[in-house]
Amino acid sequence: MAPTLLAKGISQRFGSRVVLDNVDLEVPPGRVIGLLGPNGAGKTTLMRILFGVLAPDDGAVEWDGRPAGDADRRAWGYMPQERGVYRDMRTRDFLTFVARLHGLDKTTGRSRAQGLLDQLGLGDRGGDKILDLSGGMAQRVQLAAAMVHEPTLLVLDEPFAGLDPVATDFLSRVLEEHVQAGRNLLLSSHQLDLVEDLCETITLLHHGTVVLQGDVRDLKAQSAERYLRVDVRVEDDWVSPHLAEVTERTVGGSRLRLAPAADPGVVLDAVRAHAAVGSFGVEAPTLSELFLAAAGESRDVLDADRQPGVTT
Amino acid sequence: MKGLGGARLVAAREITEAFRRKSFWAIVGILFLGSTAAMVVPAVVGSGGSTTYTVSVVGRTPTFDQQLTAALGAIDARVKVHDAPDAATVRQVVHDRKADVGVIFGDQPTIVVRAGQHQQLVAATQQALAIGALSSRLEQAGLGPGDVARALASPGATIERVDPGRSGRVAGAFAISLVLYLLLLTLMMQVANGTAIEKANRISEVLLAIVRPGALLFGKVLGVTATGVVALLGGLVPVIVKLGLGGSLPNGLGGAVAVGAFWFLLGLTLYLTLAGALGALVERQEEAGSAVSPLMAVLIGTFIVLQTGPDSPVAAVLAYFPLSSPLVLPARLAAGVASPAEIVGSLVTGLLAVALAFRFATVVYGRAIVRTGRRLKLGEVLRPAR
Repeated sequence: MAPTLLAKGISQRFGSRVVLDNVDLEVPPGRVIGLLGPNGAGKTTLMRILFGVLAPDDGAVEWDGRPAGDADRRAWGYMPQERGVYRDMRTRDFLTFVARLHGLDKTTGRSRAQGLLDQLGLGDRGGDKILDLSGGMAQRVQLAAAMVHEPTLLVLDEPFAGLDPVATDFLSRVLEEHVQAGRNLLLSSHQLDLVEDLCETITLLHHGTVVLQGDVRDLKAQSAERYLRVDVRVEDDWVSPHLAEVTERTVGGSRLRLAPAADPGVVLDAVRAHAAVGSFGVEAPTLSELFLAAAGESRDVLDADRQPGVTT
Repeated sequence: MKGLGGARLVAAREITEAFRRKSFWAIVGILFLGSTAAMVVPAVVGSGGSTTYTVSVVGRTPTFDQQLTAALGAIDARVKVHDAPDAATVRQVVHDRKADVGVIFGDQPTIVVRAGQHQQLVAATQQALAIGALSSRLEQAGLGPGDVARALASPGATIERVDPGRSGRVAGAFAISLVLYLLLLTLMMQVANGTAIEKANRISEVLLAIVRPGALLFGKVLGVTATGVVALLGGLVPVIVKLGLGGSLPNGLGGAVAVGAFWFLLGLTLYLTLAGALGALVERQEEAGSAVSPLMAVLIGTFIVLQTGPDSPVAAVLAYFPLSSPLVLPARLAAGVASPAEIVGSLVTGLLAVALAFRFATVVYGRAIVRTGRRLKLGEVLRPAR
């Protein structure tokens, strides 16, 4: 089993702006760890600090129970959110270059590069320039760059951003294989529901502070909130606000947060009085709902587009 | 990867990728062809041969041609004399550049020449006219033509030219400064653009997770400098070939090229290091040009000032400034006007500047490359974060 990565009491300011405030994070081997939160929460800054790209104002990063050094970090793999590639380089050459920076010799690096390209379905594109690949292919090359030296710890910043469902499923399988091999994996996402099924343990950040942290199943079980899902569009005045509140309406139906003492059957009957319900269920909160409850925010904070400004 | 190893790999990538670019080989080709032309053309067209002037005359004396030819002999020039029907035609052909000089004979001959041109030819023409007038008066005074010819046949003064290679060296100095100027400008933009692209597409983050910022910056500077040297060699090959075939350069120019190459490397390192740091301030590649505009202004200003002559007082002062000396000193060396004290002084200030630039660039680059989202000002990057 690989060692555990620990970030203890990390704080970071940019001028007068507090980007991270006393953040703790643990990335044990064999589990998918999610660093989640809306844009601007401080996820990227924390990842940069883990890799020594930024020096924190306070706190420390430990690997295997001691301060992480350059040699430790060179054995990790990092995929930033944007396409961190040399677009005018040939795919195989780029991966070989990254492998050599990690300390591999040219022959091994080239062999690993080709092996990964084969694994990622790009075996015949090694001689092509990266700029000639599609966006999804370029992202796979980026993932390959993070994995070419077979890192113990893999850190991925927003790996699912911009991926189609097929690519998302493919990436999920690659990441699961990584943790099943007893290695460490940390991924960030602002799309909380997208990674809900993948992450086993989460740290939810908001405005640079940890608002929720722990095992996803435990957090859901411990939550007092329950939701009623129905396959019809529920209007606000169908159900008494003392019983439930409509939190989401989509073409597929609605989601209602039940009041603490509310009987789900009574709420369902109130809905049925207005429309025929074909499918329903009482569910635990999603990660988004857990976040919103913990942060005391409205859903707008998760739906907001990325604001221009210094990346955090 | 340790710092040096990382810088070496980054440099190797820069070199490999540059060699794959057509634009790089276009620069090498231009330098090679330009240098070849400079070596071959003078030999083919015979720049060392005599000049042949064209003179248009009306009403010339019988002995004018002989006297003008004799007068031009002192400056190793030849002449072709054409008769014009009238004075207006003489003026017109000179105006149209069909003749270098015109002579309208009469009681008081008139020399026609475009303002400021052919001063040697004008002087020779004046001399020929004066000798013609003197011969005429001597014959009127009773001397026979043979006596007049003998009286005027005293040998003319020999012209002894001091520093005969100066014009060649000044031309060489100009060529060297032009090549260095263009290379510095091109490579500086290459580093700034490259840094801006790496920051914009976040490849810098991938690399910074593996190598230190200093190794990343200096690897790039090292690699681009190496490509600059290769491009420069493209221009030097014809010179070396000419020397190998027994040709010669203007006196002192060969040594100046060798010593100047060192200053070029010094200047390249200085400019590229600073360009890398400034390129890290911007958010998009399009902004890289404006980020290095102060450096470009210094470079362009230096080149313009240098056109007043490498031996001008301003050039002598600029030879000591690290940002101008890479252009000025090689040119002054080529012109043969750089003093030993100036060479040592320029070397000391240059090396100091490179050391300071390394320190400055490491700080600026290291802080700026990871701060994304908007263009940064140099002041806010240099200010302590807390």
